[in-house]
Amino acid sequence: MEGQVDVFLFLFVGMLTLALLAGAVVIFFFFYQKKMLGQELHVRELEIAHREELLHSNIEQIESERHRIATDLHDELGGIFSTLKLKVNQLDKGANLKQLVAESREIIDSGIDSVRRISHSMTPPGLEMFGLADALLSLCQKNSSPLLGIDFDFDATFPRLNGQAELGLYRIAQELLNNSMRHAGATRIRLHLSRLEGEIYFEYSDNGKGFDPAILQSLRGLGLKNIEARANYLNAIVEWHTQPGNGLKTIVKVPYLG
Amino acid sequence: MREDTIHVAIAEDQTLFRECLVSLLNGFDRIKVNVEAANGKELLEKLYLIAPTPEVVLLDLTMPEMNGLDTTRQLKKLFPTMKIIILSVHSEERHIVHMVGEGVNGYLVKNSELTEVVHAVESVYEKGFYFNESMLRAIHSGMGHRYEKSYNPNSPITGREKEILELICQEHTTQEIAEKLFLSVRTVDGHRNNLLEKTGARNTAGLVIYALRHDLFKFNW
Amino acid sequence: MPWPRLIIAIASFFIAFPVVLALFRYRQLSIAMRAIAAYVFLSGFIQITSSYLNGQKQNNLWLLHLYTPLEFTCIVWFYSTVLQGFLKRAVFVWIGVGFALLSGLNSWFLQDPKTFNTYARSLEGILVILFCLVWCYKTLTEMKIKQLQKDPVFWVNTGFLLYFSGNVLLFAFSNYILGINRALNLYIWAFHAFFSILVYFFISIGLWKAR
Repeated sequence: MEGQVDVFLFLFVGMLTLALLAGAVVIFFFFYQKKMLGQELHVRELEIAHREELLHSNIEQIESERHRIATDLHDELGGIFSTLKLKVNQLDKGANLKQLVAESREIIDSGIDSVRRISHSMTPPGLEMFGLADALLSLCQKNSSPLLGIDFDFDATFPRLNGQAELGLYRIAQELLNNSMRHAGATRIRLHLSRLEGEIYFEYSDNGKGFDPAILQSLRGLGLKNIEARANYLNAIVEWHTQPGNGLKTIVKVPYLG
Repeated sequence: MREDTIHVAIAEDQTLFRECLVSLLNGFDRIKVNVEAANGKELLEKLYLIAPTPEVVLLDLTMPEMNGLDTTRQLKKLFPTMKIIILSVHSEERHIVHMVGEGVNGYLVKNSELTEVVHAVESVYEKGFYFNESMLRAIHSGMGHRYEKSYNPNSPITGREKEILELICQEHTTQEIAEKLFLSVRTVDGHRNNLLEKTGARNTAGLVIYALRHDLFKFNW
Repeated sequence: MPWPRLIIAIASFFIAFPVVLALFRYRQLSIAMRAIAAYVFLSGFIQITSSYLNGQKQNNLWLLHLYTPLEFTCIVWFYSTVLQGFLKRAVFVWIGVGFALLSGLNSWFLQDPKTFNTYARSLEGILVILFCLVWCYKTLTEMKIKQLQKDPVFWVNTGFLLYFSGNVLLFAFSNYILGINRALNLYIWAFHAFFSILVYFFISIGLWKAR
C-alpha cells in the first residue's frame, strides 16, 4: 500500500510542479513583455525629444546666420554703395576728376572684398573644387596668428568625399575653431584628418580651458548642439574628451565605404 | 446591387499615403478597412487574427520584406477567395497582364481619384474584376503572349460560352447573366469554369483580358 | 458524492461554456479563433459520447484514441494561423499529418484501444507545450502586441500551456496507475479534471475577447 501511495504522490507532485513551472513561465512572460514594451516606448520618447532639440537648434542657427548676413550686407555694402553714389554725383559736377576716380576705385575694391568675404563665410572657398583637406588647410592658415598656432596634419592621399560629408565636417571644424578662439582662450590648436578602415577619422584638440563634460547631457550652448546635429546628419559618431582646465579633444568618425 | 459592408485590407509601405487612404475609404458607408499593413508579411499575419476576414485587399507592388508579387502568390494559396487590387505607381500594360496572370482582380494607379478607388473595390467585390478605360485600351492593343499559349485549339470556345464571356465583360453578375439567358446560376457558373479552363485564366479578370486580347469583345471606346 | 467524482462531473459539464460562446460568436471569430471553436466543438462532442458510453458501462477509451489525433489537428491548425510568418506553413502540415499517422499506427499496432494511448498522448502533450513556448517567444521578440490581456490568443495559449504541462505526466502514466489502485486513481483524475476546468475557462475568456 505504501509503495502505491508513493507512485501517486510522485505523480501528483510531478503534475503540480510542471503546472507551477508553466504558470511561472506565463507570469514571467507577461510581466517581461510589459517591461520591454515600456522601455522601448521610453527610449523612443527620449529619441524624439532629442531630435526636436536638435531641430530647434538648427532653426536657431539658421536664423542667427541670416541675421548676421543681413547685418553685414547692410553695414558694409550699404555704406559702400552710398559713398560710391556720393562720389559719382560729384564726378558729374566736374570737380577734381582724377582724385574722385581714384577714390571711387578704392571704394569699389573694398566693396568687392566685402562681397567676397561675406560669400566666403557662407560657403567655404574651394571646398567644392579642391576638397575638404584643402579647405581645412586654408581655414587653419587664415585663422592662425602670432597668438594662436593652428596645426593641421593630414595625408596627401586623403580622398574626396561626397558633398554633404565634406561640408558637414568643414562646418564642425569651423564651429570648434570658433569656440576655441572665442570662449576657451586657446593658444594652440591641432586638427587631424585621416581615412581608416570603413570610416573617416577627424580629431580636433585645443589647450583652452575645457568644460565640464556633464553639460554634454544638456548640450547647452557652445554650439555643441550644432555639431551634434551635423554629425547626426552624417550618421557620424562624436566623442568628447574634456575636463575643466584641461583643454578639449573632439573626435568625429564618419562611416565611409569609398 | 447588394448593400452589405465590404471589408478591405490595405498593404502599403508609405505610411502617410496608407493612413490617408484608410481614413478616406472609411468615410464611405459601404466600406470598412479593418486591416492595415506596411508589407506583405504583416498583412498575412494580421489576416488570420481579424474578424471578419476582408473580402478585398488593396496591395502595393513595391514593399519591403515581401513585395506585391510574392504576397499575391501567398494570398492565392492561403486566401483563395480574397479579391486583390494592385495599387501601383505605374500602369504599364506588361505589369497589369502579368499580375492578372498571377490572379489579381484589378489594377489601380496611386494617383487615382478616390471615387475610382471606391468604384474599383465595389466592382471587384461584385463582379470580380476592375480595370479603368485606359488600361482596357492598353491591354486590347498590347503585345505579350501569355494567353496565346494557353489557348487550346482542340477545345475552342463554344457559341454559348462566347455569349457568357461577353456578358461577363459587360460587368454583369452571374445572377444577371443567368436571368438574361434564361439559365440557372449553376449552369452559368459551369460555363464560367469551362472558360477559365480553356483560356488558362485564373479568375474573371483574366477572362476579361483574354477576351480583349482575342478581340472576342469590343468595348465601346 | 465524494469530491473527486464531483470535480470530474463538473469538468464534463464545464465544456458547455466555451461551446455556447463559440456557437454564439462564431461569425465574429477570426480564422485563428475558429480553429479553437472547432477544438471546443470536437471536445464537447467527445465528452457527450464518452459520458453516454460510461452510462452504458461500456469501455470508452477507444474514443480517446480517436480524439487524440483530431484534437491535435485542431491545435496544429490554430498554431499554423497564429504563428504565420514565424514558421513555414509546411512545418505545421508535416507535424499534423505525421502525428495523426503515428497516433493511428499506435492505436492499431501498439496500444489496445481498450487502454490509454499513453504514447500518443504524451507526444501530443510535449508537442503542444513546444507550440505554446514558440508563441511566447515570437510574441516576446516581436513586441508588437501592446496589451496582452486583451489578446484572445494569449488566453488560449496560456490555457493550453497550463493544461498540457500539468497533465503530460499523467498521460504517460495513466495505464500504469490504473492497475495499481483504483481509489487513488480517482483522485489523480480529479486533479486532471481541475486542469480541464482551467483550460476551458481560459479558452472561454479567449472566445469572449475575440474581436
